[in-house]
Amino acid sequence: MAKGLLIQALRGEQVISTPWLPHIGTHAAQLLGVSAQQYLQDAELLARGALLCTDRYRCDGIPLLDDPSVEAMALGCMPHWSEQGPPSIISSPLSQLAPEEFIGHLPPLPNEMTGRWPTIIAAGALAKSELARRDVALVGIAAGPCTIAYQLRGMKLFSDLFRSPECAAQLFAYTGQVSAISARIYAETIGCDIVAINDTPATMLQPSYFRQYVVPNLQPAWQVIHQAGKTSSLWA
Amino acid sequence: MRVIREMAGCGAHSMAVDECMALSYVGEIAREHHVGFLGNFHVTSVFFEETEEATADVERCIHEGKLFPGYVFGLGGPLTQHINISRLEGAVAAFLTRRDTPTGQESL
Repeated sequence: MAKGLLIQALRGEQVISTPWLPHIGTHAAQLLGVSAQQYLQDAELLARGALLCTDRYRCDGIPLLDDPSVEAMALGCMPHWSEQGPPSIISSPLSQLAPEEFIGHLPPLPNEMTGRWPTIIAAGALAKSELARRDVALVGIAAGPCTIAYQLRGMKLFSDLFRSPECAAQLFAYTGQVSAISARIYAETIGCDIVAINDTPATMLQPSYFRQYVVPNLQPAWQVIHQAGKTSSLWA
Repeated sequence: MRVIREMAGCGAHSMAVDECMALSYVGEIAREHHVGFLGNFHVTSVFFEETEEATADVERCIHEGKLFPGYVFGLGGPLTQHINISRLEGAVAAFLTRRDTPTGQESL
């Protein structure tokens, strides 16, 4: 496998052989014969799954975990677990509040001890050296600002953008900080080689809204990743 | 995806796109912004619906992606349900035998 080649390509360089990095989702749970719910909450299964996929599919990098609900759960959102995929967020502490109210009720920012982070950090510790021995990049995937804002507000997020742009701007500034904390944990605490910000809902925004709300609030994450000497990626 | 240029210029080293985008178009924009790009094997039609053959889509990805610097082969979406594992293994085998192929000779 070729971690260096993957990193070179992700930095825009021409490389001699095409590297490969799978968006593996919860496929490792299928290989391990466990439910996605078990797999996503067990450090040993996460680490074994990353190594199993690496060996089976001969990829040059592998995500430690591919679940966009980690941040929302660390902020107090309620998940509905699934047998075959990542959990869905079904309720949030902010979803029923008026725009002018929710800004005063933003949850405390998460840290390494919040939500599922201790499990993810333990999984990283188990997988990292084994992946390094195989010359495979460890990839962290954090939820992006729009993803987290959507999980906190639900469909009300889109009316906030039209009717309460100042509240929406404050929400995105907050969720950008949450993404940056995840990026820091992946880059510094776990030592991932590559940190991706996955922000699929942001691609539904108009370009002007993307520039106004998303781009500025991705910068704290890029700053953390680049200062740690790691490679960044935006996934949609 | 109307925000592809904004993604390319947002400050990240690279971007990954879903299976709806034309990889050659993404490659042009990535080259303009000097960033890498990742994608976009058709997960839905090959693994979930099983209506498209893996090898043909691997060839599409490599043919279009390798025209530009910074291309990384990847899936156009996450594997979020149980799939026929032999189809994924077939896609990976098709990729691994073609990853070093010069552009234009992917199907030889």
